[in-house]
Amino acid sequence: MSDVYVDSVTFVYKNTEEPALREVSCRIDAGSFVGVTGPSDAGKTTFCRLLPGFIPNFFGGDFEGSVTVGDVDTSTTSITSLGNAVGYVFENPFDQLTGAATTVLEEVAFGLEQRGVPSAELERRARAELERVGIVDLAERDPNTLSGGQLQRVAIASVLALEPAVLVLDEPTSQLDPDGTDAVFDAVSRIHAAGRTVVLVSQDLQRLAPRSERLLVFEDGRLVCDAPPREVLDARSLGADRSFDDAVRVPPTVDVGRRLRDRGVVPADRPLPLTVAETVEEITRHAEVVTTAIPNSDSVPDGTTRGSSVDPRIRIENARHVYESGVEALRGVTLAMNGGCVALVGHNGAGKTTLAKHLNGLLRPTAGRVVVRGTDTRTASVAELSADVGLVFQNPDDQLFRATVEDEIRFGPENLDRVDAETRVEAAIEQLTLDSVRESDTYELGRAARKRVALASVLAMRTPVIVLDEPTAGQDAAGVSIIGEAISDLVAEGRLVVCITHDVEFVRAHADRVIALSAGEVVADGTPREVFADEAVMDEAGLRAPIVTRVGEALGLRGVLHVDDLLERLA
Amino acid sequence: MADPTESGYLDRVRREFTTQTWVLIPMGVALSVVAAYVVNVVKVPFLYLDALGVVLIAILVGPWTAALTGVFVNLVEGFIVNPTFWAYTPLQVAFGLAAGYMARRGWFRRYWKVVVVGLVLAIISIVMGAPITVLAFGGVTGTGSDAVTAFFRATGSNIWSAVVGQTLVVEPIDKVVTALLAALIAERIPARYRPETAAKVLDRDR
Amino acid sequence: MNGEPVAYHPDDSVVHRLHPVTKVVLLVCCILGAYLAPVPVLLALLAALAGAASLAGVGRAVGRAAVPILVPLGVGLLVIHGLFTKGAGVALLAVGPVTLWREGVLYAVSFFGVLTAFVLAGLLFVTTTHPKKLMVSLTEKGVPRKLGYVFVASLQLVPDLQRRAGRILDAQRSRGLDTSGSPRNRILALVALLTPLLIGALISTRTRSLALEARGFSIEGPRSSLYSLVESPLDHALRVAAVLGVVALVAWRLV
Repeated sequence: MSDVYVDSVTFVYKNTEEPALREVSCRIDAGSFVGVTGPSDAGKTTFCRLLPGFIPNFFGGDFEGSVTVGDVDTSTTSITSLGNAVGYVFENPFDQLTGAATTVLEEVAFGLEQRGVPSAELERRARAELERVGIVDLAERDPNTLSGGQLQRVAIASVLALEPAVLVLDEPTSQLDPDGTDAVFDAVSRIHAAGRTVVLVSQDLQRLAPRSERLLVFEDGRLVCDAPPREVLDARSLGADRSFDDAVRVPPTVDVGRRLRDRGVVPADRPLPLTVAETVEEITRHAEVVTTAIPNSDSVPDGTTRGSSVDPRIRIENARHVYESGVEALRGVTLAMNGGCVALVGHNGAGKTTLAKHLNGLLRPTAGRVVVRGTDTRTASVAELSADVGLVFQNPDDQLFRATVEDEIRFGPENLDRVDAETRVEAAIEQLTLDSVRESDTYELGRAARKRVALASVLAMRTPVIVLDEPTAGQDAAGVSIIGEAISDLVAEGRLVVCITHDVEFVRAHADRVIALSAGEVVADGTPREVFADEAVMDEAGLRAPIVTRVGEALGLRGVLHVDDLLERLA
Repeated sequence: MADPTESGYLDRVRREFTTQTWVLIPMGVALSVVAAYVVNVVKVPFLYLDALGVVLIAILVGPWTAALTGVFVNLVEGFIVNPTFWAYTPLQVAFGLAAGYMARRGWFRRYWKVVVVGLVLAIISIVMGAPITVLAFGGVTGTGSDAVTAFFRATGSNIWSAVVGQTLVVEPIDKVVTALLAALIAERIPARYRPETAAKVLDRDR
Repeated sequence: MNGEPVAYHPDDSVVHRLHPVTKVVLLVCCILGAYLAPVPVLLALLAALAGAASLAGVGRAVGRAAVPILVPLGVGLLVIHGLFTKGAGVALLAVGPVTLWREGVLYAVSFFGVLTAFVLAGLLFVTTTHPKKLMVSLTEKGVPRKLGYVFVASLQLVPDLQRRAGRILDAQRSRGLDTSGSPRNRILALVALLTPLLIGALISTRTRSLALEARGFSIEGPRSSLYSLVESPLDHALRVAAVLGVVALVAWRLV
């Protein structure tokens, strides 16, 4: 059997001083599903790289201990032959493809071609793997034209074609939208059910925990916890002084479950719920639900509303945008935005990014107009508008280029020619807690930290309007809270923050107003409570409501936004 | 028996070609093609940067890899932009070899030296490019540079002197900027993503 | 890049079905032939290329790609030779100080014919030859497989890198990068645009090297392919005819 043994491994990457892994030992049984989680830069990726022999065969450094897959010692076996035993799926969907395939089928067949598998068998095996991950209909497509979620499944099929016993996936969904994420998790579940060992790294415990037989938590290079997920998330079973709440993003159902136990609604010794169904089940079993309407006490903050009398910072009048390709991305959008935190939600392709690019003039409406602080965007250059609107894109690597974090953050204020550039840089460094890495090379930081650098580089421009594209993607628990606080500070200073996001839990916690887009049109605009309660709109926008709202709905309660809303209705 | 120095030399060439090298070559090719697109946006006159990818590969990996990148730059540009680029393939190969050997000898460690590399590339471009332009294309290139050729023709030059004159005006600017940009950009590559072969090339004498 | 990139047009015409190696031979022979041929033969070659393009159903695509390439070349030839190659001094047209010379125009037109054959042959080849099948067929003929990889990977990477360049441009402009202004500023702007492009490319190179290695890129030994390519009698006949044609033209030139 192909059990995996990791035996007291310590590893220090070349040219670094701190070990990336410290005396890590564990055993992964053949056929098990192991989830791996923990903060950024805690050693999760380094751990994954052990299994296919990338460490020590590709990444040089000081390696101690041993790793065996079945009866094979990884340090004395080539990456190529380990490829037959361990399949590895990387975070970035596109980069891990061969790049030399003009169709999906060629991509999946690549590994088999290299091994000289007879032509007759090639196509059959490649199609079988595509079938397994649910994309056999894409076999003839050019990989360049696929979405991230589809590409990630192509990558899974490509490594599965070599029939490895173990599949390792390093944050395969951190760059995907919710549909893509679900598709990947479902494919992985099927692969596990068919008998393969799965090791899956993710920050998304709401999806990871219910599937995992065991959860490994890494912190600072150490394997600090190796237990079934319910135990990892249950402070009592760990002992009073141990909790991993700082290290992992506690899934919302666990959060609800804990509150129910604290309140005495559910017996404290009952195992924590890991899914919405389990939460609903324990509530119906142990509590009475009082189905009175929840008063809509929230209001959209002053000045953000549609009918404001003052001229708002951003006014969009019947804006349309047709790309050169003929795609109509915006079909008559009318909006006014002035302050607060506005969440822009909707499917991929609904027009969110197109709309965001209209706010600083990167795109101009092909009909209608966009007015930013009194200036029609058609009459100003992007460089001029960048003093009014700061826009942070999703991928930090599309903008970082200077030698140090500090220098990078200075780029924006320099372009604006501001005399107080230094104070702005300092403030942004502090706001995103980057002080300890200010002298570092940005690319020596992990992706989550690089994203905060990119954010800081735009905050330092002190624009009255800030637009953020997926600010929480790939962030760990600490990162989400740093970004959340930064946004709250900005709103408190009276600035307008617009977040494009799929992270409904983040919207629930931080947004004052939710605008849902679908097919280039605004389909809902209101408080989070109003929009999330409207199932028809949520369906149209391709969104799933926050967990607590869904629990409420299953219990016949509409408009539940916080755990307190729920607790008040339970007797 | 094989000549020991020759086998050592072949060994060095062979060592240049790891899996990572084979993956870097398409990157260099695509960078050259896309650099032309970026220049188009920023609009600097007489700047083409079509040798940028080759020079970067010369710095990051070595002369032979760069030469091979050169073969593919024009092959691929011929495929997706304009088949007439195929005729200029020898130039890119020569750029790769020259930049690669100069890089190994420390010519990317000081900015004035980088300018010299750029001038060497410009000389290659003039010596090899002008004959191709005259013999294969009757003296035209289909770019803005043809205006310069026409200017020289108007002053009474024959076709050879006009094309050489044109390349003398255009090439030094393009190639010096290409070499300087390549050096600036390569220097900014974080240590962990820098191929091992690049370190020696860029590190300043201390 | 200007305009639409040229690309393979999937179809199943006689031209598409030719073995890729046949098309390489034909391409090389057409280009050599164009430079060697006397005017009547050149005209026949142009007609044959146009016919083959319409037979392959790519006439329109080839035409659309050829115009932006050929027009500047044609204008250039006309200006550089038509206006300045005086020859025997027979003027064709004189407008003010500008005189169009008969001999220069004739030279420009005949050279333009050669270049047209070059460009048409190239575009016909590109639009009817599947890059992956080209790679497979060349590998079968003994070209190192890794060179084939480089070729297809380069073609596939261009659109990917181009999209990234577009995103980088958006991101830097959003941070106030001004792409107008003095030449010095513009070159500094290029640094801000090209540096993230290169670093991103190197990051993805590392991932790709690992992925390729794990999937067996460096295994020595026999390989198989999804595509099986057949050489028909037509292929052999065309190859022989093309080579003989070029040999005949060379002989004619030498005599």
